[in-house]
Amino acid sequence: MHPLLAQRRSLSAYLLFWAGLSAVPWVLLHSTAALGALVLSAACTVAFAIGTLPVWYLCRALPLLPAKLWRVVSIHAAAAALWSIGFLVCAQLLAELLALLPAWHALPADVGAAEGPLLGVGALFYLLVATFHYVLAELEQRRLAGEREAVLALAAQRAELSALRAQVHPHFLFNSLNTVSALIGYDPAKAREACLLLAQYLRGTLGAQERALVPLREEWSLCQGYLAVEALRLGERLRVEVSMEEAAEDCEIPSLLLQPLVENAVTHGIAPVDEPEPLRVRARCRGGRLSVELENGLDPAPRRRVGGLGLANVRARLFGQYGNDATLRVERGVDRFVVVLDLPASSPRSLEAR
Amino acid sequence: MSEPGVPRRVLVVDDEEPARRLLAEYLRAQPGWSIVAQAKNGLEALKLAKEHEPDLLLLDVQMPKLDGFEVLGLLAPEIAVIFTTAFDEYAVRAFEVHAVDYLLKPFSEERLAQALLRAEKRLGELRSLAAPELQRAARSPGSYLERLVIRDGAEILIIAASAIDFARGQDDYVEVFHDARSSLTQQTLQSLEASLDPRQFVRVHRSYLLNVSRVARIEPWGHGSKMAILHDGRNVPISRAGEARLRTALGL
Repeated sequence: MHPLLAQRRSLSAYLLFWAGLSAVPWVLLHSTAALGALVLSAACTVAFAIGTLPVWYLCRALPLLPAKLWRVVSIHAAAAALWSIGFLVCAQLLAELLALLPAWHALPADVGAAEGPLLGVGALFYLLVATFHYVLAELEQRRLAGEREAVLALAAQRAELSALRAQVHPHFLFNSLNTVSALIGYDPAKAREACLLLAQYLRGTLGAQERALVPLREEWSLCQGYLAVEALRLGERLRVEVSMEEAAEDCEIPSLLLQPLVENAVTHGIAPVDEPEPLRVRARCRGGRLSVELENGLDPAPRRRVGGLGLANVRARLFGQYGNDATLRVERGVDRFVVVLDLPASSPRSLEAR
Repeated sequence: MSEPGVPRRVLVVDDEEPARRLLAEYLRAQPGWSIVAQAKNGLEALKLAKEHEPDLLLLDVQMPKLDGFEVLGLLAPEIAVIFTTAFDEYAVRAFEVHAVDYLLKPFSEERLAQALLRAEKRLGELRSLAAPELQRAARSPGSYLERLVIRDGAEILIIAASAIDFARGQDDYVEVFHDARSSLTQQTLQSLEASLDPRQFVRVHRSYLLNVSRVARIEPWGHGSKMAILHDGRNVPISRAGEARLRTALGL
C-alpha cells in the first residue's frame, strides 16, 4: 500500500502542498477570468497529485541503480509525457465545463493559448512527483531495515543465550565427565580420546558463536562432534543415518541452528528410549531452496510432555535471518518426530556468481 | 539382618554402560558390598530386584521405560535406594521419597563409600511408602503426570493419562479404569486427582474421578443427582457439587 494512503494526515499535507502549487498553472493561464482560472488550476493540480500516486509503485520497481540509469530515465520520460498530456486534457475538459458559466466563457481559449506551457508544467510536476516518491521509498526502506535489524538483534541475543545454555549444557558436560571418569578405569586410551572429542566440540561451539552464517558442512561437522561425545555414553543406542547432497553441504545456514535440533533428538528420541530408532538427517537443494530434515523416534509413553522452547528459538533465528522466507515445520506422531527446515539456498559461490 | 562376613547385595541400575562399569569398579573396593545384577532400564530393574532380592539399589533417575522414581514407587519397601544422576533438580524430591542418598555424577569413590555407610545404617528400616509424596516427587513442579505406573500382580502397567476413562476410590485403594480393563493402585483418590491435569480429570463424585473427554451425555438419575454416560456406554455417578465442577470443566 502507498505509505501516504496509510496515514491520513500526511496525505492531506501532501494535497495541500499541491494546492499551493496550482498557482503555477494559474499564472501561466493569465486569464481574464481570474477566479475561473484559479478553480481550474487548483482542480487540475490536485487531480494530478492524486492521479500520480501510483508512481510510487513505478519508483519502487525502478530503483536508481547507475547500471540501469538509461532504462529508468527513459521509462520516467515516457511516464512524464503521458501524465503531462493527461494534465492538459484534464485542463481542457474542465475549461469547457466551466465555460458554461457566462463569466468564464474565455477559459477554453486561454487554455488553448497556453497549451505548450501547460504541457511543460505537467512534465515538471511529474519530475517533482518522481523525486518525492524516490525520497519516500528510501525513507520507507530505512525504517523497515531498522525494524528488521531490531528483530534480528533480539533473535541473535536470544540465540546467543540459548547457545550458551545448550552447547555447554551442564547436564551434557556432567554426563560426559562421568563417562570420562568411568573410561579412565577400564579404557584409558578411550578416556583420552573422549577428552579430545569433548575439547574439540566445545572449541567448535565457541568459534561458531562468532559467525552468523556457516556452510551446512561445517554446522553438521559440529553436530557430529556432539554426537561422537554422546555416543561414548549411549553406545549402540545412538545410531545416525545421514544423507546429504553435496550441493546442500555448500549452502549456508545460521550457525548453531542444527545443533539444538540434534541435541533435542538425542535427549527426547534416543536417551529415554530402550531400543531407539536411528536419528535420520537428510539435506537437499532444489529450486533455490535448501531443505534439512531431522527425524527421530519418541518415547511412546513419555513421562512428561516435551516443551517447545528450543524450537521457538530456532524459529526466531530463522525469522531474524530470512524474514518470512524460511520455515520450520514440525510433524509429531506418537512414536516419530520430524523437523523440516526450509530456507533459501545461498552459498558463498552463488553469491559471487550474482 | 545379614551375617557378618557376608556382603550386602547391590543391584546397579543405569542405562549407560560406562556408568555401570564405573559403579562396578568403585564397588570392588568395598568389601562389605557386592553386585548381584545390573539393569539397563527401569523395568529390568524391577524384574531383577524380584529375582535377586538385593539390599540396595544404585539407581539412575533418567532411564528408558521407567524412571528412577517410578522404580522406587514399585520397589519392596525394605530395599534401600541411592540415586545417581547428573541432574541436581531431583535432590529434594529424592529425600522426600526416603532415598538413602543422592549422588551427583560424576562422583568420587569416597563419596560412594560415604553413601554406602549411610545405607548400612538404614538397612532393615522400612521406607514408609507415602503415595502422595511419591506422586509429587515423580513429576516436575507445575506439570501433571502424563502416565501412571501400576503393579498389577506380576505385571507392571504403564498407563498414559489419556487412556484413563475414570477412577473409583475405595478407602486406601483406587481402581483405575483404562483400556477396557481396570487396575488397582494403592493410593487415595485425592492424591491421584492432585497429580493429574485438572482440565482433563474432574472429581465428579466423592468416589469418582472422571476423564471429561469420555463423557457422551449427562442424564438425570433421580433425587437431583445425575449420571454421566460415557462413549462406551458405562455410567459414572455425579454428585451435585461434582456436576458444578464438571460443567465448569466442560465450559457449559
